[in-house]
Amino acid sequence: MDLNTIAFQLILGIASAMLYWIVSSGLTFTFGVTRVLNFAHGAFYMLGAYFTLSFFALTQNYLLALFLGAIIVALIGAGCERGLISLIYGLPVPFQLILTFGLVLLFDDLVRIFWGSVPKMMPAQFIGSINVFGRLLPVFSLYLILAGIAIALVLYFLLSKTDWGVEIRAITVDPETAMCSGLNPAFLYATAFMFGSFLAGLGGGLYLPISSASPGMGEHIIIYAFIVTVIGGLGSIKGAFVSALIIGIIESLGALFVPWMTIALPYIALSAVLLLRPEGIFGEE
Amino acid sequence: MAEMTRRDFIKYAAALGIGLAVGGGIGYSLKKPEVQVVKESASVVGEKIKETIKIGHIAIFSGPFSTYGELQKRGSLLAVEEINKEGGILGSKVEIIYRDSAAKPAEAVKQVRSLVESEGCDFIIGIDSSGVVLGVAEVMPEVNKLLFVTHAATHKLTEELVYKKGIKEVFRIAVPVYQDGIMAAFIASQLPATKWACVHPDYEYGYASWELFKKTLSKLRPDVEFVGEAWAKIGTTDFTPLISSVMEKKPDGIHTVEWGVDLFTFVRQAKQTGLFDAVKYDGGYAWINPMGYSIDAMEALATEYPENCWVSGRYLWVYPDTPLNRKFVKAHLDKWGHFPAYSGETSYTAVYLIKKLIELTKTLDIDTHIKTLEDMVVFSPAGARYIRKEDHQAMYEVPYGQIKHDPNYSIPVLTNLQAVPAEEYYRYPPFEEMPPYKELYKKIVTKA
Repeated sequence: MDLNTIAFQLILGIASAMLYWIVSSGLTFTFGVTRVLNFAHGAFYMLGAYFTLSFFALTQNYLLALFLGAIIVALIGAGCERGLISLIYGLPVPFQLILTFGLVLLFDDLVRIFWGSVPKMMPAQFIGSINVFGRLLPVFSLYLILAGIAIALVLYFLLSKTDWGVEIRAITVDPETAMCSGLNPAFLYATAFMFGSFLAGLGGGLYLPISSASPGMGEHIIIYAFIVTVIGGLGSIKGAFVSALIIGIIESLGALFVPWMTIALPYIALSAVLLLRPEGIFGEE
Repeated sequence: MAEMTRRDFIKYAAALGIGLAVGGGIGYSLKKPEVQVVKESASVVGEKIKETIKIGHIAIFSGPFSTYGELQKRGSLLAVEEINKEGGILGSKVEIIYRDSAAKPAEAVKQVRSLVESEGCDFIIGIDSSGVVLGVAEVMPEVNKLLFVTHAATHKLTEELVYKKGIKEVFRIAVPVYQDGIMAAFIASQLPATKWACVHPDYEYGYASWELFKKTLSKLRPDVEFVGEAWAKIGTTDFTPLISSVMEKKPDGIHTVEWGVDLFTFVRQAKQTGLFDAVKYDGGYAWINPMGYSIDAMEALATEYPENCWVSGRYLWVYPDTPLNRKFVKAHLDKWGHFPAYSGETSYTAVYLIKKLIELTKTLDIDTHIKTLEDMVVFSPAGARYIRKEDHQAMYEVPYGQIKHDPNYSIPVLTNLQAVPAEEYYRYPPFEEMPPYKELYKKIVTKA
């Protein structure tokens, strides 16, 4: 096996990692700010795919549909936060679990009612492939990599260069002092939740043209998002990026060298991190 | 605000993760048979056996695989409505109660008990997943009702639980994994490809299919090699690393039992990565996808599934060309606006089989039912099914065909149908040896 094979497999692994990253970024961001474990994040991902599907049917413009879809999901997320999740902020953790899991079931059934239970596809986008190391690299793999990097840069800019980002970081690090300084927690929690939902919706919309939209599609990706989030460190965006890359790459190289155990690799990585560094790679105890 | 610790987070995430992860086991197939309508028995004089005959139908109605419950329900509900319209079973109305297995064995077992003990169901039908069916079969003797399996395909059900362990309350209406492994190898043996690789879902169904495929094909064609394997988790979002690892081994044939949304993702991504081109031969693609002709795949992928790939199902609406099948397909189309899925046919047939059984025996006694069913021949949309006594497996053949895009149909159609009689490719009790495939190979007939 030559180096080109391994290098090519690495590139594909990075592309796979980007979807994990995009979905985990919103999950870990929302958790970091609000301390809410949002199981409905996967449902928002699903809604992103379905709204993108419908907006594409209306506009025939994929990028526009993607953006509109994510905006709608962000608004739904904000509605859920204000109308439901904000009511349980003071209550024990299992309430979060039950409420957000309830939202998963609700949105799954709403999708079935409005779009039907049979999965739907939109026309493939980013068709074609380019020659890399003598092999065909699909254009959509490149598009995933670019989208993942773009989202990382936007997140970095928002959190470090804008007033909103500074306030979000302040309330994350020390909520009491932040509130004494006059910050409005309700506004920050709602916008943080909204932004997290936007990222989930974007993930679903980005995934749609390389696969399909189906009820319950968020249930698989959310497991990976949880693994990525725990490995990276809860609430750590940088951690989510790094651990998504780790998972994507070990899965990809695993397929080449140990195909019979590819499925176990993310869980082995998770166990190793929990044993050696329980707070996660970038987490704080 | 309630503080969640890292430990809490992991605990809850793990709880949910486990709950969702076990949902991965569906996959076997869908198909449905129908029983001959026995006119004279529909109006027997005298008192009814029971005011209402109740059937419990358990399938997946929630989560990522809920399509499969829906496809089954279309078949069984159609049958129940037809039967009630014609006067019921010996004058008794038929009622069907749907329950969600959530693709989890424990949940399905709970539903079986609830259907029997609280709802008073007389029969249970359905079950999508191999993992689930093995759990459910174990409790059937205890609840003392018959189970007609309409989808789950693991051969362990009939070979081990029914034949070896003697659980007589279980019958399977659908083709088992023999279709995905053995029959697939018959098709492969006729193609020029000599280096086969697989891309399979990483669970029982994938392993069983690949093992049977390899064993059978190496007997039929000693010149073939098996060069690569890729195992995809359920819910794989990106198949490209798997495809690329398989393509490194330079296969010229692909066997894949991917199904449902994973199949859609796989086909779409395989096109972009050149996997289809790698297995092209003069006459099509050496691409064998046993459950590729399932209705959800055909509706979603439509013309995106390349022409001349080899696909099958556990029933194909195009086969056989009999009045019974035509009538069923038309009724299904009229009622639902969709062609019947394989599990739609098996569910439809299961309900009619129950009708026939009661009309023949005029009782609800389980032992009488079991004796009657063993060695029974059932005429169904999928053709004549013979219920084998030893393992309670309904035997009928389902062809493979090549995908063809026809503008006159809303979904792709099949051409070049290839079938082998069921008794020649199903494994036989005591299930230790493979059948003498070398001889059978010559008998493959083309049924267009």
